[in-house]
Amino acid sequence: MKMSEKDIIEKAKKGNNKAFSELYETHVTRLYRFMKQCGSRYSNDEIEDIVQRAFVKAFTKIDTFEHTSSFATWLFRIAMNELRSDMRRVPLVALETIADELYDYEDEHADEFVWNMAMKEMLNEVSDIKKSVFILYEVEGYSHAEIGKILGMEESSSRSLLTRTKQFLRKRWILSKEIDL
Amino acid sequence: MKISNFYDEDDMPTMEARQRMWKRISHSLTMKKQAHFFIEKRSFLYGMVASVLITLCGVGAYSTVGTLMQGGIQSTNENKETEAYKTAIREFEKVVPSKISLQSNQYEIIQDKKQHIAMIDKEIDKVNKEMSSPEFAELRRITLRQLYHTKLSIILSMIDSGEMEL
Repeated sequence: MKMSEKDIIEKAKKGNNKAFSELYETHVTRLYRFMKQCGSRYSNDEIEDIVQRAFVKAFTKIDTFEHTSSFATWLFRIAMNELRSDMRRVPLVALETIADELYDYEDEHADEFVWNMAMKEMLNEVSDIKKSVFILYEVEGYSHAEIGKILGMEESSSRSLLTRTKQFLRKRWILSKEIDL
Repeated sequence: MKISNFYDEDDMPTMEARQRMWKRISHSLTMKKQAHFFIEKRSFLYGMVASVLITLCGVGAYSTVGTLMQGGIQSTNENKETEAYKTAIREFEKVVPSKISLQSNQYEIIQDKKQHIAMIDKEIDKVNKEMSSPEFAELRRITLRQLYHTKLSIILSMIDSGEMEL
């Protein structure tokens, strides 16, 4: 019978190496691909470093994990903190100008949002925090409450950032189509 | 509805990257465990030394009171104190392997300390041999205690600075 994640975590708390390995295998791909998107300015080596630091920190402090959130939420939060501490060393590139200009337009179809793969590139024009909220909600399937925990913000802020990012993507998409025409 | 095709192949970690990261994570965890074990072992040794020193203090206090009570008559308790020092060092040398870290960049300092300990041992032997003579017996006993005390201090400082492998 397959062990539940809770049982695996309890084993890891006792220092069981197999449990650490199972937790790593379960979460590494999901964490890596997310960090790669959020830290798009970083090389693969740097992303590997951040992911590995997050796992080491999580495993070292696993005895403080109390199952108040999922292990993935907790791990993502640790990884985001690692990324942020790195970002404090690397100056952020101002990407908000285009996005903020587009928010100024009235949008009567704000709730209409249909994902298009071309929008993935456009996501690089918004801030890392908006991109993170968008991916966590729309791709990874986290709730706003969980995103709040991962990114250390209010649930309402997560909702607001998601709405703004979707508005931006929609308008940016329309704009690109008009230019093509 | 969740976007299912958001990530492409380039976003995923390769098998090599996954193995590389796991190797580094395992290594870090092992190092942290070893550091934790080292600290616990050192705490144990400090605890042991502390208990020996408390015993010595007790013996010293008992000896002083005994001397006062008996009007300055020489008590055998001072000999017990010296014996306690000897036992402390002997027990300590049993627990701490005498292997000295050759990788340490303070090799010369360690060698100096080893020589210092050897000189103290030589002096201890010398004083011990002279103990049979009644002349200056009290002075010799004090010298002996000071020598043991110095040796114990050097061993402790070497453990503290990581110059002695546990």
